[in-house]
Amino acid sequence: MNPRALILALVTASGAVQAQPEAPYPSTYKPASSPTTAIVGATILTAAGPQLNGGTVILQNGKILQVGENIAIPADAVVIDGKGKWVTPGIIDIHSHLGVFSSPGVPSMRNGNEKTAKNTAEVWAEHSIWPQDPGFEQARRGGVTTLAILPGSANLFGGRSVTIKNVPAVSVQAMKFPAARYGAKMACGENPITYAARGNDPFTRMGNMAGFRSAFIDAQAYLERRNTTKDRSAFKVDLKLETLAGILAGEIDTHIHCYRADEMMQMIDLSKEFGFNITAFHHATEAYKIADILAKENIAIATWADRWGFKLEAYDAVPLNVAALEWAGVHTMLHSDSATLIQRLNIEAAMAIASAKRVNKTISREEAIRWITLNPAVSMAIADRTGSLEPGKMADVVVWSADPFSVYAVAEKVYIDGVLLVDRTQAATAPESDFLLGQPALEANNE
Amino acid sequence: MNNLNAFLISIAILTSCQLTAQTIALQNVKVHTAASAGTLENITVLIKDGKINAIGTNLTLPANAVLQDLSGKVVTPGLVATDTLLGMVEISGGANAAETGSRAAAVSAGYDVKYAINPHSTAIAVARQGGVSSAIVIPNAGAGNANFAGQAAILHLGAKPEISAQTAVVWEMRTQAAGRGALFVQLQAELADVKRYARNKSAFAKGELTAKEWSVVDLDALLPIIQGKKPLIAKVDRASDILALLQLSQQEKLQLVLLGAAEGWQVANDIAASGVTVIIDPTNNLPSSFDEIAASAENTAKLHQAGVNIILKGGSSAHDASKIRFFAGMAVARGLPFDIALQAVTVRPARVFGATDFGTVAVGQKANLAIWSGDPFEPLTELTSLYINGIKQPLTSRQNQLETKYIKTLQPAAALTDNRQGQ
Repeated sequence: MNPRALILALVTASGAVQAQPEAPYPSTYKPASSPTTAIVGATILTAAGPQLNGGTVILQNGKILQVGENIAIPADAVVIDGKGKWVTPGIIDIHSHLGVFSSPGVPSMRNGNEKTAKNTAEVWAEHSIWPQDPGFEQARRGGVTTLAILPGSANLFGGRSVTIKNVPAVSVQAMKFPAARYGAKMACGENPITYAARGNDPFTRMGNMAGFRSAFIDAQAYLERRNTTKDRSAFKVDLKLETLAGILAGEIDTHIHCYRADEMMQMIDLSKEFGFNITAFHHATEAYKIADILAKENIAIATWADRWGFKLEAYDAVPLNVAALEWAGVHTMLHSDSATLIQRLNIEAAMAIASAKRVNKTISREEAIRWITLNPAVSMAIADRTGSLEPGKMADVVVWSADPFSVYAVAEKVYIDGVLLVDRTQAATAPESDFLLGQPALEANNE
Repeated sequence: MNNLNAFLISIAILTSCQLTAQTIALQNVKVHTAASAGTLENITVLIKDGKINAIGTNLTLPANAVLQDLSGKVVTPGLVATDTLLGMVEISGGANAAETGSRAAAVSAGYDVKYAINPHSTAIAVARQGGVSSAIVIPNAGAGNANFAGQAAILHLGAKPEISAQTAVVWEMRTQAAGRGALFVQLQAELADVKRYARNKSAFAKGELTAKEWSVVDLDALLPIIQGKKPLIAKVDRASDILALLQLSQQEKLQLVLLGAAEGWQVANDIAASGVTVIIDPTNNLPSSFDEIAASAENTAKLHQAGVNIILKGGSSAHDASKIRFFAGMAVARGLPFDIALQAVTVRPARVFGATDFGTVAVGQKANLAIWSGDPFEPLTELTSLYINGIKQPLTSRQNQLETKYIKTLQPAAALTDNRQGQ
């Protein structure tokens, strides 16, 4: 068996049928070994079923072994007393720019928006990610175990996104979620207009749509040529069209930055004109105006609890957006788009629960936890491996000091693939980021 | 039909809204006073003539008092959102309703946010929904790389908003514009000019003020600062800059207030010894610039432990003012005592910016009271009422009208068939 066939066989065996076996820049992530761990007596939100009171979660060989209320604890297990604690799956953020817009925000580290043209579908976010961004560790301390890193929204096609595990690493390859699908970032509305290079198009919203349509017409021709060229060695790959053709062929997901209901409707028609699938609208602060249509079209929404007013297209945002989408049967997610909000997606979820309470309706904790765990895992096509506490899934687990929808809750212990990477019960250690390591400013004080 | 519904609802809101201060007894409540009385259980608060008239268990209530049994409810002072653009910015970015500071190079310290505040901003009603009764509106530094940003104001969020203007002057480190080596020297020279002007106003006309080309409005705004009568708010993060400002403040006998202070914990003892107040965002824990390398989630608790008078702030966007209670909660989660966190979003900003008539639940204070279903810092707690000057405020916003217009489960006909209710 030649090496390529072997890789193909392995990937197929692992169930990740969408992965391209010859994809360059492959993941080199390998979890460290970890002891068998039993978290005992906690309140558990599995994201897959009802809340368990006084339940146990067992982690073994980096995977969830068992979850339930009456479970035998393996003799060799490290036992964590979960009494008074809450356990959830690791938090998943489907919209982050960590590593591409890093801290410190010096000009040379603004690597998230290529924006040299309206269409930069050729760039890949993973080639900008700085693994030393101190934001990764702070996000981990907020319980975040998996993230989609997206290019910015400055132009119509911002480039490809990448899914990573939130582990300390020297290279992005060592963070990449194995065999995860790629996404493409698209943006409608104000940003492509506002940031357009002077004298360049798009200058208007109609210019935006013309830009999308022209690009997909080119991609159709490219895809046709790619499909009919028998001798692949004679076929010159075009990086930009490769991403767009991937969208049309259903190999690459679409993450579309879009605020207004009317513009989401235009994008839905665009997807029908060219026959591609909209994975999710991001931000989508007016999604509540078209909730039924989004449900019918099976388009997911990733948004905030109640950010609003930061520009005209976000003026009609309402606090009940998330709950209204949930009630309409839309696949709903909370995202951060921020290095600080990512540290408290649990509180964002609590705010969205509260908005339902205000109108005397109920969103359950079981529903709300899915907004920040299983639902993004589904949209990122990794739900077969993470996103909920179910046997066989990656042991991505958070032990919270209290109800995660309390403002006082902190992520006390965070496990990624069974490895304990955050433990607030232990004395503080040196920062993970090489940038912060040994900084006199962090060590000095005037005691 | 939807429009008609929304219209009827807004009429209903207007007619149910109380327009004048009544005599009201809030009975059987738990009160976090934010004052020396601490927390009082199962007590009655009497509101009369817009003020807190009495607090106690066996009060003799006036015959006309409206009695409200609020068992299980929690009362706090109305919250104060400090460092916000509330009222100034309707929409961030690009609009003619997005003023954040002076656009005229000739006006910096004299810039007055009073004129920029629009009482009809939709963000004000949203802020009230977070239990916010007052805001300390602070401008950003404006045109011409000026360091003085202008004069802050206290905005009271009653149905008819009131503004106490010119409560402080804001100065912002813009380290990259001029460079530290220039801007501290320049600041000292400018303050020396203001002192000359304070001694003799004719110095301006005689051309004796030479630190820069002055405008008289800027000089006049800085008079109470150099006289130590009003606070100078300095936006600053790096520890070494904080020390430089503490020294300058001591030398010039200023009423300095630090805003930001990401690296404050490193020089916590110096700040405590100076008696300077620090306005701080408890969630600022990333080294967003080289001035904030030591930014830490523990900054707030460490400054408090060192004895520093801290005020808590959240995002300065007008649209985020309602979220101040969550920032107080997050500060508690990171080690700040609850009572201090409450004071830091109520009485402390009031006192630091010169107001003695609101900020606590105490007899004689304005009846600015937030009533909650539970712990005021918890997202799952609801604000049930907000009184400002003893007047019950409407707790609806433009956002709620959009919700009613579009969300089917909120509409009467749909509600009957909605089997998700109570799920």
